[in-house]
Amino acid sequence: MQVFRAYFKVMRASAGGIAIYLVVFLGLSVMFSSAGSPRTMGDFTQTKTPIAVINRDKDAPLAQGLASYLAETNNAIPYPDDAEKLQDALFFRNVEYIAIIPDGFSADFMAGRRCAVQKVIVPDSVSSRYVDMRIDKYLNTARLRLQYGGEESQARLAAAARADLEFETPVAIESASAFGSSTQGFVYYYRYFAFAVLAMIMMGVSSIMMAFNKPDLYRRNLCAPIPARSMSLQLAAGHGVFALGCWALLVSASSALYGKSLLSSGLMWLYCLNSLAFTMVSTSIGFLVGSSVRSHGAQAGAVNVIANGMSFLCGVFVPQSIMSKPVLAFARFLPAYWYVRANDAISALSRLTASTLRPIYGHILIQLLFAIAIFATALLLVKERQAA
Amino acid sequence: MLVRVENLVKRYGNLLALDHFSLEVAEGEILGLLGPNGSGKTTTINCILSLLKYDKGVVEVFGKPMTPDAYDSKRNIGIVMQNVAVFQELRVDENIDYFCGMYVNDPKTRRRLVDEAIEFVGLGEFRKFTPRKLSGGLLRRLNIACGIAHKPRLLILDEPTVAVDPQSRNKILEGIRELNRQGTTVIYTSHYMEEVDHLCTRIVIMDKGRTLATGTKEELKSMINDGETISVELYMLQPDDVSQIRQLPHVARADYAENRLSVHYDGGQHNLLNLLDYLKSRDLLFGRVFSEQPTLNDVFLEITGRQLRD
Repeated sequence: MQVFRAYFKVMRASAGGIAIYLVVFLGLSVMFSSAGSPRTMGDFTQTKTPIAVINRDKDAPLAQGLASYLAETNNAIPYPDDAEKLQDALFFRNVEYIAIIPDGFSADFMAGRRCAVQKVIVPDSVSSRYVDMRIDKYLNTARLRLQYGGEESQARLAAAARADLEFETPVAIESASAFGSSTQGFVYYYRYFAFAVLAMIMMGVSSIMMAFNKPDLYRRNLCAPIPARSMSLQLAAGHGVFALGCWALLVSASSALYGKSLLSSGLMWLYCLNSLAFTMVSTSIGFLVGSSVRSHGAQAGAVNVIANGMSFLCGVFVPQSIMSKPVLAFARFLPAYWYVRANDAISALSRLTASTLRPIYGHILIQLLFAIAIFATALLLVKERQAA
Repeated sequence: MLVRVENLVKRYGNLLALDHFSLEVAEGEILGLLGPNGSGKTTTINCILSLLKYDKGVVEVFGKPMTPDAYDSKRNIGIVMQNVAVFQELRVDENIDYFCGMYVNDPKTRRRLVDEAIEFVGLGEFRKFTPRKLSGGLLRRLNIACGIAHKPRLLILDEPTVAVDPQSRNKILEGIRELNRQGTTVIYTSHYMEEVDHLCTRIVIMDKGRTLATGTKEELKSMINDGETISVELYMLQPDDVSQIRQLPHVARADYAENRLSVHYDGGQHNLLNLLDYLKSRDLLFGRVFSEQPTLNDVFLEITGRQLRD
């Protein structure tokens, strides 16, 4: 096991570079996932605007009904009918909307005369539109009742209007995953995982390959009384342990960062399975790069170009949903595309059944086929070089 | 015989690298393999180590055919490559331990052997250094330590002292002699004639893939026509005297330039006495007198055609 032992001693030289990728990845994924995951996408809550309602038509039931409706549907803050205090409230943004029901408003409304609720708002305030809509909604409902409902008294008209406005349309967000995972931080984490694991493993595996494939050292090793097959197997075991170590490290980091939400999602095993398949792909790419390049400059270039290029083209950094069709058509020939597809499919799962899991398994299988194809290509390259 | 190479033929395309080359190495000897660049030395070594497939011939090591899977034979061979073949990422002691571990499984024995190898090549104070921090000479010593740590029966050194300073070279040569005294058989290739002259018990001169001469250094020196060269510092030597000197017994060539007379002999005895007698008889006053015996370099140049080739 001399080669296997030497593997990890040689790896020490690359540990710094690998650690940089790890730290950058963890930092970025935490930053992006916390910044990019809106927490209220899974349910619906009406917006409540801070308002002040000044009712100068005090005893009129219709005005009282409107005032209480506005108070219920918004965040009403009590203010006296004092111009200076109301201006201060608006200036300091304690309220964004001041609704003033003028004296005689209800009588004018009942008589069908022109009347309007006065308003003072924060300039360019979007939320004031919602308050406008609610005032219109109340008055339109009351007007319909007045015209077609036969209500003659203000009290009955106000009560009927409020009764009509009690009905609300239930809102449900159908696109959200039943597992509540589509907007969780770990979804972003496992998307960026592709870049981190690809860069780390490529850097590590290719460094080892370059060290053992130096022509003089390779020939020197052939002089030793150890079969070439045994050396290759020991190297392969080293690659396997290193790749699994990287994968385990990143999965453990995801557990540490998103433990409760990740475990409660019930999808962790699928994320692990998908990321493990991509870890194999990364190992085969690292093997290919290590068999092809000769200098550390070329190695660093290859690692950066492949890891960044594949991540950008396949939707690791930018969601596939907003990428152009020609780019996606090209990306289909890259393994990271299928990793992201599987990742997106897992995060969108509404239930775990054979039919919903089948496409995910399909994407994972494609990744494994990529791994085999890349590994076979690298082996051919190695054989040709050895023969030369 | 520890190593037997018979009628070895190796072609690189149209280039005939080894042309029915034969070689025998007896146990306990230090065999010097001499030849100009491209003469086939490294190809021979690679064929002996079974690193290269050859077209024809027989290679036997320790009495058994040498093949890529002759692991019993490989276990007793130490190899020091022409280029330094160590891991740049491992420290000195880790490099030696790696290569020693290919031959010796027991960790305790290996630790002892690594310490002995480090001591042997004088790398004690550099054992925790990585190769990047070592000078050229120290790197060569590390290369040798990696090849000898497992105490091989047969040690093959392919130009191990290229680009090494004289101090390190002496240390390396002393080490090889010591290994030989301890029973290791050595095959040594080099461009440096004085190294082979001092170190090797038997020498093979090869060129164009063929053996040109084999023997001890004395035997090789006796093969060429060159005898000793006598140089005398003197003034005002007349051309007639130079002509007379050329007529003396065994004189092959005599030249006078810059107040220095150089007389080359093709053998004979008492040449110095004869020359000095002649000078005294002519009342010629002379200064310092030098006598040089033919070197291996003369032999090499004579046999390989006195040409430098890349």
